[in-house]
Amino acid sequence: MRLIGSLHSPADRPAPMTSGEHGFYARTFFLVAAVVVGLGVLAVYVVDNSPIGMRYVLRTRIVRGKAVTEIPADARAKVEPILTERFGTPAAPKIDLEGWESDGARLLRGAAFYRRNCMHCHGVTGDGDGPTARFLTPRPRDYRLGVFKFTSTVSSAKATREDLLHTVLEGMPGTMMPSFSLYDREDVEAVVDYVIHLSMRGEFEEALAMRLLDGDDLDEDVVEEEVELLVEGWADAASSRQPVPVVQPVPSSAEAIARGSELFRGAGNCISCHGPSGRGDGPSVQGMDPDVWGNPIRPADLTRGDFRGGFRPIDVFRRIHAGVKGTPMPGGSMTEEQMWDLVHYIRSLRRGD
Amino acid sequence: MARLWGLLFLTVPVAGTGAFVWASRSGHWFPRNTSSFGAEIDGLFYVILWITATAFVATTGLLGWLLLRHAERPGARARYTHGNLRVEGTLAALTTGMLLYIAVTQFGTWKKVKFASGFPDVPTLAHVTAGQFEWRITYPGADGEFGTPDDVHSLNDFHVPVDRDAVFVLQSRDVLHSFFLPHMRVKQDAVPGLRIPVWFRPLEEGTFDLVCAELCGWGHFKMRGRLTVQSPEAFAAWLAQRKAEEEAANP
Ligand SMILES: [Cu+2]
Repeated sequence: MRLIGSLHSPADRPAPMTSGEHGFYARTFFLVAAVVVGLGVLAVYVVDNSPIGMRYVLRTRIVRGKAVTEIPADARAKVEPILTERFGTPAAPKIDLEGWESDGARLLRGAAFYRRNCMHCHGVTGDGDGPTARFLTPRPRDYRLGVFKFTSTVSSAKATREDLLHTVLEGMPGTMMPSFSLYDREDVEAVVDYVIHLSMRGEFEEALAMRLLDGDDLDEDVVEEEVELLVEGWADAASSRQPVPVVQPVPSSAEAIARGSELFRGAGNCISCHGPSGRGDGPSVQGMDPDVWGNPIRPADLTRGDFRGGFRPIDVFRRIHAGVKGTPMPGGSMTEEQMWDLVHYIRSLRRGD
Repeated sequence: MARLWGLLFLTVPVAGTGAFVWASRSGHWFPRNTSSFGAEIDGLFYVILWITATAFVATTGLLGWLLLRHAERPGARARYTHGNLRVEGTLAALTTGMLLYIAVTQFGTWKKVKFASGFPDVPTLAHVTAGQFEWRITYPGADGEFGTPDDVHSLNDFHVPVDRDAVFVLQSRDVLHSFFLPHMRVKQDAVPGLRIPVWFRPLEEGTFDLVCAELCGWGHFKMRGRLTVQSPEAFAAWLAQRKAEEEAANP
């Protein structure tokens, strides 16, 4: 009211500004503008170049399915220097393990790409708990267990580089994991290296912590032993020594689909989790233990067609053969011909969009 | 000091005009138009640009000039005035006229580009589904029906044949997105729950940007896509190849 009054009644107007006041306002204006622009530039610089506030933090508790292990501070203090020695920091990542080749420059490039595009969901350490993760269902993958759900390898083996690359390129339909197919291929390859780095680091952390809790000392022999185990697991998958064997497929036909339907209901026992109509609403899901990451089990709705691990026949065959790793979805114990019948049946369940 | 303020205000029309002149001469303007109705859209844009630019330069220039002219005149008293019906009436009539002119000139183009009744009568080429943070594209396959086993799917890579009307259905699976093809002058919001028909006719082969033009979440910046315009033969070949990849039964 005071302001409007002053506009409308000449008698009431405030005194005109003195030139000193003009100077004060002008100086303040430019000062504030300079500070705002400066902070903006600094923020961009920090996000792109500096690992301020970004360091690998060790777990205080390690979750594997139902099992939760508390890791006391003194154990973490013993594990941390060994981890840093082998894996470096977010600013200078490395994989220093005997028998594992790694390219430092590419890891660095991968880390930069990861910070820009992946970290807000997957977290600094790859714990799947970045700032945006809490809003997502399903949760982003926690790499630190070394387990990846959708692979081309047999059920006991790890993921290959190509499996991870496929996920980054294609994304995961039905989740918040997008496709990076149009990004610079070198960046995508580099970020796969970096994800393997995070995954190995997390596994190594867990292995060392468990040895400590078992009463072992982390002397050179123990560390070397764990290094060997870790490298062996990844190298086996990488060298394609353990792929899902692919036979000549049974082509899709009405008969194959009918046989698949029979298996789905009968010997395959798929309906106990995926439900009689394949909607993921089977009776066994109630009271099931969580998956290896501690998340509740939600069997796939097979009528949606947006399969996380891909809808190609080869993808579905691998799921049936090797299962979905880290979850109760088992690898199949039937003949490969039967598996192909199931593949055709499951692919036929897709409804239109 | 008051003169400085006058000059400061005058930098607004000068820098504003300068930015437009500079941008249009150094490649920061529109990308090349490559769609059949793009020139009409650009024409409408220029109509609005010239009207607003004239009004902008005139008002900010006048403000600066008045500030300069009346600054620091010792002894001069400020005078209080309260409106002028004739000036205000003229300005209101001018503005109304301009708005009506803008509204009426775009009727034809708007109907052609956005109204289903103005759409070319061709079968739907694809369903484009926006989601955080990617584009999923479904082609109906040989049977022309969506939701059948011979559908062909593509991720972030939207292929269309050149010199044909491309009519597709835009939808969103989560939040608001905006389907934007800068070279085609096509921009349409994708609204969850709506199936919105969109069309354009590309006139040139090549690859062009497809971007999301609606802030749709933290990953908005990585919602990249690509439009590939190719000859009808190459398009058919690409569809067949995608289908073969989708049906891959061997690694
Ligand atoms: Cu978007």
